[in-house]
Amino acid sequence: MNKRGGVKGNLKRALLDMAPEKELPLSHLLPSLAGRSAKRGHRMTPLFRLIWPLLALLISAWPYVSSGDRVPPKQDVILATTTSTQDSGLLDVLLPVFQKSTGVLVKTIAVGSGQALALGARGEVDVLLVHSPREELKFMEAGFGARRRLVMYNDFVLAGPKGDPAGVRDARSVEEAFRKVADGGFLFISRGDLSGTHVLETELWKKANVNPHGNRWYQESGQGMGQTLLIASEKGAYTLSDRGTYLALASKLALEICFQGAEELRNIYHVIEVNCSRFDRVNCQGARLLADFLVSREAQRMIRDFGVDRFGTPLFFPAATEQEK
Amino acid sequence: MVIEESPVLEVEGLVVRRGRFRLQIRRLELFQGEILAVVGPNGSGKTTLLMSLGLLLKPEEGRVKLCGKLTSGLATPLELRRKVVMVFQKPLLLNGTVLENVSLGLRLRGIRGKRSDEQALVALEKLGIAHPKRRHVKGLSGGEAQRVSLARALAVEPEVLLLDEPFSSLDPPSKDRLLEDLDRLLHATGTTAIMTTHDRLDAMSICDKVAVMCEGEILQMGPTSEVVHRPLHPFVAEFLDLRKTKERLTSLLASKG
Amino acid sequence: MELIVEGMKRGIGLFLRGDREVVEVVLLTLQVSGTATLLSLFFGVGIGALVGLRQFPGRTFFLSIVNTAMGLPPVVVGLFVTLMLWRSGPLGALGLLYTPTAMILAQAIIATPIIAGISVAAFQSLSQELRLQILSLGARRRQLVWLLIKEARLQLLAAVMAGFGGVVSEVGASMMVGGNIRGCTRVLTTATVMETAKGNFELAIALSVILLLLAYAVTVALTSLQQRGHKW
Repeated sequence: MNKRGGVKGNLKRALLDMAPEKELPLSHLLPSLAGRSAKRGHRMTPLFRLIWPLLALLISAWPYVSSGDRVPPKQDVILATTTSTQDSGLLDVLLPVFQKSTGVLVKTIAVGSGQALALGARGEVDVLLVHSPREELKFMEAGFGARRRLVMYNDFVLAGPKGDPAGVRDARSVEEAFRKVADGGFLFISRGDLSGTHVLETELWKKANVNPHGNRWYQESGQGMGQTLLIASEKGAYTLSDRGTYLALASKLALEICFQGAEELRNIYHVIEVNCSRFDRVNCQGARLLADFLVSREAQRMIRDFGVDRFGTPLFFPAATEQEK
Repeated sequence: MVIEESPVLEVEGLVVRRGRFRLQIRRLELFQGEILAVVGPNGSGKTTLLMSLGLLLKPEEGRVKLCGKLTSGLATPLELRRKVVMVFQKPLLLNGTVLENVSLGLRLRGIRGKRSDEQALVALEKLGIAHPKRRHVKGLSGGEAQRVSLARALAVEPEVLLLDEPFSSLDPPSKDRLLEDLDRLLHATGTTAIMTTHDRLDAMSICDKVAVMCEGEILQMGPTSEVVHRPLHPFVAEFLDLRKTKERLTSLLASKG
Repeated sequence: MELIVEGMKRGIGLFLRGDREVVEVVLLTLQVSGTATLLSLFFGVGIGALVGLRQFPGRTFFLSIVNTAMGLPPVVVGLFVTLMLWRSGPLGALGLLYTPTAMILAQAIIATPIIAGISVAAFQSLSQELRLQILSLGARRRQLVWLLIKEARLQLLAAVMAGFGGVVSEVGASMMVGGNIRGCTRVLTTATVMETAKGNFELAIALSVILLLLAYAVTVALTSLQQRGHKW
């Protein structure tokens, strides 16, 4: 044991201790050894790490609680409608009234007609408010819908560049109007997204005996009505639009209504309750309540009055009293 | 005189594997207050031995007993594991002030606030670091960082202190100073310590016993002077080269005046 | 150019005036993206610690999956989550589609790999010996991980910012699983897309400005947290 005396003391003692060296045969030099080996890890209990995410999940329930949405999910009604319908703002007027009187929350998703019908065909939504009659009939025939009722109508217009270079205004029918655009090779922007608007447009081209695809003057935007109108405005092109969206954007557009009023341009809206006997989770009661509401006198009156103060003319025409196939 | 008591550290038939390297220690005993030097060339297993004794590695075979109780690497109960602290070769300091670093061990043990600060300051004072509260570890020199690392270990007053090449990154003057301080400290507190080093003079400076390692085995272990004068293995003799050591010792003492 | 300036003015005006709908949308954006980021933080850092600090068979493969998932297209995630949450889907009974919870779920799936991937790198950059040194000083596993997290703070907070930035700005998944329902699942990004489609560019720009300001505010807070106490 080294006595206390500090390093110096120890070293001195060591030197003094040293006996005369013995000469020893030196062994061969030993080879140096391998370097450090691979990493080693230890087990770490991730148990406590699982507790925190559970806490976070609890926090995620927060929006549910805080948004005031006390209605349990089963009572919600999911309404699938088209972007143009939602964009018109009509539902923002109608639905709050419905929700107030029935206490049922309506969740509106705005997608293309095609997608709305596809969702209905899977029972993912409860009610459809669409304007694609031909597709709707197929839908009903396939048994996906329980009940289909007429709600309202508005119309489409053929909008074009100011001055109407194709002379569409003078056409005597909508087919002639379309033919004038095609023959003159005037730029035409299509929705191209299987929406109600697009489906109608396709029918009209067929009626006019024109196949627009592949021509340079025919372009598909693949977007909503508002976007498409703006593109048409930018490019000085013709396009088919519902009156509501056109009116809403009119001040921003360098377009004018070139053709309107034809019977074929009528845009008819139906409300379809999805067939709940076919799908488990469809909210039957809620769907019926909403559909009943839309054709009720109260709603019909609101539809009639909608947009008058803003545009001078109503955007939609109530049609629930009329009989429809 | 050493009273006959049970060893603080006891190793029997130890086999530890680290990758392709194999450490094999037949028997090792260390009593309270003893300071052991483990010397040997690079790769001889010094660090592995230290890590095994520090309970950071679990042996494949054999046992390590600390204060008479059986251990099992990191699975050893915390109470027991906390009696031994290892200080690595590089001062591994955490981002923060010197004081925060030194009080780390204390805070881990649940000693907080003023108490931990006070104890940390005592350790720092012993190792001569100034202004620990304000200084950030980034501003420390190599020698200072080493001292902080040591202070951090000493602050928790471990039963066994394991130092892996504590002087390797120091210039000679710093090393000398640290040697002196360490010698004083360890003896004052009666801490049992094991120190690995390349330099056999370190062994003689403050260590009571020395163990010479080679290729994962201890070739010889015993009181320093005994091993130096009576090497039992040619490698030990060569490594501790008596003549060269004597020369170095002489010149070293001369320089100390 | 004036459109942008007008939009900016309108945006700030709308927010300051506390326009009810706008405030609703902003709050929901914070709620959804904030919760999603928090969730991703726990899972992400957890994965980061597990993978970054230990060896196990198949580690490299698992890590490559995580790293690939960092670049998952949000729309793909949205589609997948929708399929799961559809009434006809495996989780349909939960009735979660078109709710903020579904959006949180989708965003969490998007952000977790991002945070995880960066966290793995963060933890791996810490030296192996540091871990052992901390353990030797008497740390429990829990204490060790916490200390390592603090040590890797710079990179971990960068990971959180990346995760948050990724989800607060995404629109595809949010639109699909949320449905952009007014007063329910409409957030800043989906509202911006809708207004753009309607042609209300000024409003769209206004909403964009608000979104940028929101993202900036959160990032400033996180950056100062990241840099706190960091010495050069």
